[in-house]
Amino acid sequence: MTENGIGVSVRRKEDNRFLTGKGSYTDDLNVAGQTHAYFVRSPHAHATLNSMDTSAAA
Amino acid sequence: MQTVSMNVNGKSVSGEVEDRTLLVEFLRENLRLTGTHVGCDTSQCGACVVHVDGVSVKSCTMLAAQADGSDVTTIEGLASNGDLHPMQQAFKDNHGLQCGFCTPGMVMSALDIVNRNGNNVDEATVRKELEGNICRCTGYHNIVKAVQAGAKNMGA
Repeated sequence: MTENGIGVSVRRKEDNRFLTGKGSYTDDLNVAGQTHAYFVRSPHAHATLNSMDTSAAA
Repeated sequence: MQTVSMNVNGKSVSGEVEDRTLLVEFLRENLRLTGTHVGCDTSQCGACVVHVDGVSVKSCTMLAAQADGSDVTTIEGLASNGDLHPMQQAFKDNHGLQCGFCTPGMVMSALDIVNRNGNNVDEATVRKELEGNICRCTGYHNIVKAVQAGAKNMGA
């Protein structure tokens, strides 16, 4: 049996950071000037989006 | 606003929080301990499990103010000097994780399971007691194996 190859479990290199809380997911990011996404759902089942008022978000 | 103080992973910390601030928000946003995750915000998924005074809690379901004066342990507090805790090592050895998002909660819940059921906890008990932790990757089989292996190694 070889150390690597078919039929052999391969140790994952990324596990340590996930197991110690050091994984970095999008919700963990915090950099200066970053933008945020917020989903606004349409109250209309079928409509055309003609314009968007983003003043409240600015 | 109020000031809360607690011991997190062996370190005294304090901060200003709103009355409604959740423990997980205090950990993630005030202390920047982002290892504790928010998966659902509705107490179902278990990604936010931490220990408060030695007992596992879902930190999205507890106010920061309720943890005032407590000892809190998060996933960041388990490894010492770069050595994985036996339960962390067992998850690695048994391929008990893929994307890793649920893993911090799984490991913290696993430790609570061992604390209450001992080092020879059986598979049925592990499966039953992990009902509050959801994993979308692994199908749970290797997580259960990891918890049992970690439990044994913690007693060794």
